[in-house]
Amino acid sequence: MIEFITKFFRREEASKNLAKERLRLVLMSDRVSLAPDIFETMKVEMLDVIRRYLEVDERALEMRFENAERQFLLLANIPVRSVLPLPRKTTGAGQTAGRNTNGRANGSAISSGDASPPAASASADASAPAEGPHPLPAFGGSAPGPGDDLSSSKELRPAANDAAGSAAAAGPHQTAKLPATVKRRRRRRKKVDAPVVDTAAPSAFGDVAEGPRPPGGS
Amino acid sequence: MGPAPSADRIESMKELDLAGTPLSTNVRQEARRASTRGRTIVVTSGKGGVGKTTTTANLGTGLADLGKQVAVVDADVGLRNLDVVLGLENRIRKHLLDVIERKGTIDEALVRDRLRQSLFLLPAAQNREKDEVPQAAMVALIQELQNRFDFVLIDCPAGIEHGFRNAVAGAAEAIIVTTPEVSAVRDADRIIGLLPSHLAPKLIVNRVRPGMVKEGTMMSVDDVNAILRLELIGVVPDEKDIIIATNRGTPVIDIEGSQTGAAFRRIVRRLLGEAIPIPPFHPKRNVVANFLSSLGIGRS
Repeated sequence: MIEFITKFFRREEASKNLAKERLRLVLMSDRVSLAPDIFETMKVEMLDVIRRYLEVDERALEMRFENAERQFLLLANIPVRSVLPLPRKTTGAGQTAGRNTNGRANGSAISSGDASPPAASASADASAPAEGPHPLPAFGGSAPGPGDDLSSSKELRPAANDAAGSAAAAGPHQTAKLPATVKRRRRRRKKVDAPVVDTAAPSAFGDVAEGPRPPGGS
Repeated sequence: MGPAPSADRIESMKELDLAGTPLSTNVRQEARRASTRGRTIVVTSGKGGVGKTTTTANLGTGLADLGKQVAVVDADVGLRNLDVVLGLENRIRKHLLDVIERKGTIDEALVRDRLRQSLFLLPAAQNREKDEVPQAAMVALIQELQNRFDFVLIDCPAGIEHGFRNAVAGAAEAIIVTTPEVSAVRDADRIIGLLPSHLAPKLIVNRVRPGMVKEGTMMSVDDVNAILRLELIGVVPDEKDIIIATNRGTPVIDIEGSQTGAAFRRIVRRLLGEAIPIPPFHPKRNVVANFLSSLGIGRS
């Protein structure tokens, strides 16, 4: 009798840990959505790195957090227009970006043939940004304003030039490739599922027990 | 029987009247405000049903028992309950909105506790809505009470809307009540983010069942506070005493031998600055004994 009762109650033994885990995930998501400014800053910083290696369509960029089963994900959907020439010694970020684009870290290896279907869909995207072909980012402030439409394609070139310039500083022979890269305005969309935030994540978005609290006083 | 208010207090209660001349013009009262300003503490949680009202009632009662002049304010306009928990529901003449709208004075609205001379309830309106309370008027009212009482405890409504903002606006300190449940802790976390940081919220973990914590079927206080990371001011065990107390309309503090009541008394003393450790709670009886006693076997 006693054994039976004990057994009956033991069955739920794990529920405390389940509660803690669920709380951890839901609070990460709550806190990050309460601090959109921090998210925006992170996005800009990430883009700065990406732009060193890729020419991306910033207007069509999506970045959001998602609460998946037992995982808190940072999902980024970054349309890539072209891959910029890379220095010989690639960093970790460079390798990731290259692999996600075309399976090669080297921008010059892209062949034009395999990219045509994504390019077609990309041009459709570019023609009607105001109609919202992409879902708006989950966090406010990053949606392109109407004023961006005309200038955006020009805007991206200086960014590409900057990136290429920094690449040129590392290896002078790569400057020659720049015009070709800019001309080849292929865009493709590749989903980058990067579980940037997990248990060992950076403090601002990381473990709820250690991360800073969003500023009070609203 | 609680201690009677001092003569000075009674006098000040008589002459201070929100419906009268604006207080800021009265020099004497300004002087008194500076010298006798009490502590205003909002009791909040985000989620409903975690024990805000019970906590407010018991802390108010406990403070009054230690000789403090206490006003408990029901800020839950439209869903008032502090009156029922204190057993004062039949004595309400005017309410908070009446005072704000100058339909009555504070003294008409304040209901004195049945047992304690120094405990007063300012009831909420039941037939009105929270949006009808202007924040500035609420702040002025709390300041008014602050001049007359040592402690003003504000029972905050659930939610994060107008009612919450009103209740918080006049307070200088905050107590967060939560329970060891996912939903309650989540809402507490949200509330903490919304509170002005100068309120320096303290945490009460309510409805802890030591038996379940021991079994691993309930988050412990440490688990909860690892997430919220506040100054822990109290842990209140979940007992049936609390239901019995509410049935009777007496604070659980008045129930002899109640662990819950004892926990509230300790919180009161911690509020007054005493360093009282939070004792470990042991389950009174194990599961088997509970089961047997529910069948009428064994000690009850």
